[in-house]
Amino acid sequence: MKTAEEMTLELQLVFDQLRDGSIKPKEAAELTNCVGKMIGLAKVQLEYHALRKESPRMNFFDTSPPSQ
Amino acid sequence: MDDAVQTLSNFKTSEKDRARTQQWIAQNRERHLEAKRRYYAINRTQILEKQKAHYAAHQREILDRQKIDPAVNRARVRDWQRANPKKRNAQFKRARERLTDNYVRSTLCARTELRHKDIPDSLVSLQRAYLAALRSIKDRP
Repeated sequence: MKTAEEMTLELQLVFDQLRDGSIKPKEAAELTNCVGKMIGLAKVQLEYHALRKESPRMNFFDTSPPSQ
Repeated sequence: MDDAVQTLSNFKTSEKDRARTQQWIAQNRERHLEAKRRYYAINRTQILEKQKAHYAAHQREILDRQKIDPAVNRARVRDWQRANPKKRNAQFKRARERLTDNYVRSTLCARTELRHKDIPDSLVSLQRAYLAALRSIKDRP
């Protein structure tokens, strides 16, 4: 997982697995919690740059079509 | 008639074709949804940009027709929201249920100095997936 998009896909996978029952709710909660932390970090970075009136290119927010 | 135009006109879908397509979709629901999902995944950025541009153009068109300044309109909307707290709450409730773009952005901007425009689309998608996952975990016993 390197970008926000990849994390989204990963989270969707967890969501599907939770629905199937192939993953326990507790395990899913831990993974989701980790994603929450990453979102928090990304927010802090964004806020830092917004306050400094900067707009650097951040790899984490890169969007590219998924490879087939 | 031009050859190209003639060729294109041959591809116009008739009522019969549309009915056949709908019938196929009804019979192969999963395949249809899978194809739609794949198309959306490949063209997500372009689709979102197109939708945003279309929405903005539509909003501008409405304001131009009524000869209203967008800033005045924003103030008017805020006044309406203050005057109708119940309707505003219903709007918010609906947005929370549907995880709308605006709602997800507002959750990201809460208790920060960030504005909605500062949040990239990829982070919005991630936050939406995160909120959906949280909800599904909460629903579980």
